[in-house]
Amino acid sequence: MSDFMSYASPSSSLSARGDAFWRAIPFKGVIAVAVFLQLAGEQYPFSNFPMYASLAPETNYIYVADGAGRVVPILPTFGLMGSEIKKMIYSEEKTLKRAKIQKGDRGEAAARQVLDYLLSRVDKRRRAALLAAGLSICRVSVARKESGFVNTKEILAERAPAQSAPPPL
Amino acid sequence: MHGGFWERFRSRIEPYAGWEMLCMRAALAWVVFANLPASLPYASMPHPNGIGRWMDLTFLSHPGVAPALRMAAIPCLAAFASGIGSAPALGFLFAAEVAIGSLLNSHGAIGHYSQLLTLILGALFAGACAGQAEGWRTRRRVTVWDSIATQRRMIHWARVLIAGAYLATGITKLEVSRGRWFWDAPNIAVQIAKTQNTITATTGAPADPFYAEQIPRLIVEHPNLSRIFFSPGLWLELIVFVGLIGRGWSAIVGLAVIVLHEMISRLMGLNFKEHEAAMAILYVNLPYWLVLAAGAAVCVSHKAITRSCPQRAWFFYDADCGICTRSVIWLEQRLREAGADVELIGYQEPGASERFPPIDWTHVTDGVQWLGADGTVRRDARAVAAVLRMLPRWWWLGVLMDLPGVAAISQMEYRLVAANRLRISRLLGLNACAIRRRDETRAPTGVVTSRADASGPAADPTIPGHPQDNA
Repeated sequence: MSDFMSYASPSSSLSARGDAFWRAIPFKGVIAVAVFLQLAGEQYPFSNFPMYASLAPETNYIYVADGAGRVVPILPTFGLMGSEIKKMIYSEEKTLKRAKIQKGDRGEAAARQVLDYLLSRVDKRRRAALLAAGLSICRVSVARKESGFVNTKEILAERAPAQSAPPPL
Repeated sequence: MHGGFWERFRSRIEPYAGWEMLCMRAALAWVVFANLPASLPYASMPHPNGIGRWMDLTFLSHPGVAPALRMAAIPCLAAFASGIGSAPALGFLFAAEVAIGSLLNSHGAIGHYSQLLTLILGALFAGACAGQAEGWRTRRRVTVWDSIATQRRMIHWARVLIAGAYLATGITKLEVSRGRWFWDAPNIAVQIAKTQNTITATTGAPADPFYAEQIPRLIVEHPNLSRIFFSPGLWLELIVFVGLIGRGWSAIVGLAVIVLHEMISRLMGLNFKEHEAAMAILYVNLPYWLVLAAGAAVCVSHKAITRSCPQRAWFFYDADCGICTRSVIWLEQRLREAGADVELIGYQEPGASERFPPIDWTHVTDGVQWLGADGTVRRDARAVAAVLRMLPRWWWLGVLMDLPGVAAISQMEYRLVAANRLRISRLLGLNACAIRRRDETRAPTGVVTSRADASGPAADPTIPGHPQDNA
């Protein structure tokens, strides 16, 4: 073996070293998977799993309310999770940004589209009832301050309570 | 890096037993089935994701498609669980999960609940295909059954994938937060408040003030304690791969990740049940530890039983019976391996009746007898049970045969075989005289198969009931 090594060409020696180095790397498969998932991004089923990757002192949540400001439960009404509505608005905003819509108008336009999407997910009778009572998407910002938490509410999009028959969608 | 200390800190394919992998596959099959939706109410794809970018997946939302997929998944999951035709079955399941997940993530909100399970199916599918490819390369044929090596590779690849996914999660946290995640950990308070209120928005049920108000306030009031408390979560994500070193590490890491997910579930209302299940099945591997614990209990019991066994014993059998002599040959090998001091004596040996007064020599044609050093004599099935108790791998059968009820059944079976032993021997073509060679002497470890030239009653005064002993 030593004879072989002593007569080996520099390139084969390099190759052997490279091979030895490659063998010496522990958990190659794990590293390969991690690198691939980082590069692939959000392409189902691949993901870099960015949940709670950034812990900013301020965040927000979304809820749906009726004309009187009462919470409309999202899951039993629309079959979605509350967190999904927020992500949908975010995705719509990105689409509007690509369409060169002004930044100030994007939030409301995105929320209105999501509100329409939510209404499209319910049957006709339910939709009429929701529109009759009024429907809005609200965002509450939660900020961590020295004194504690500060909550700020804003209405992103709303359908005012219908006076008579609901308008066609 | 080679050999020595570091060598043990390397990923390796765990040599799982067949039954362990059967348990793993069956449990995974159940988790996959439970994860398949009964309906897919998504008639549009406003923000296509995954394969939704290239194909319209809304056909999956048609009534009847999701239930049909579930039905079609059942034979595939059964095939995967049993290890028969895994590659095509897993191919179908992987494709179905990718299509369903792509549709679910194509309406603007990306969820991260099912990715890991889908990726695990992909890894298992790749492992099964690699096994088939190897079989084709070496034997030029495709096998229906997954070999043990293929099954181990499939499980290993799934475990590697899980470790890689958690590592990616940890890296993303460090990357997005620019390395400040540990320092920013107290800000998790606003996330907890947010998620608790989101649960209220989702379900309409009022938020639990303990989680929505008290815990966030506590975190804000004690930032350094919060950093200490929450940082291990990120460290854990970064070192899940340590679980690939061996079973012990695997179980520790698996349990830690399950605890982490349970805490996230309590605090943030985010349920990653599929992740927990995957960790429980592929990392913790509870059946293995249960069997190990049972084995340890059995070992302790065995030690207690062997301690209670007499140090020396004599076993008497009919040397003219083929089935008896064959059984004695089997017994002799195991007694020698165990180092047990048991003398196996044929009834027909000259002088035996004089050497062992306690033995009933009228019982010769009826069955075997066992004489303990304390003078205890056992007959038939109870004699067999006594000698089995002295064997490391068969002691449990001896104990079982002595249990009330079982002992009666064992005795009945014994009598049935003993009454027909010569006929059975003839049917089996066994040589009845095989054990009666007169030149056989004491075995190296003290076991004697036959000692025709034993020196008579005066040779061994330790025999219980011996005239000298009695004197």
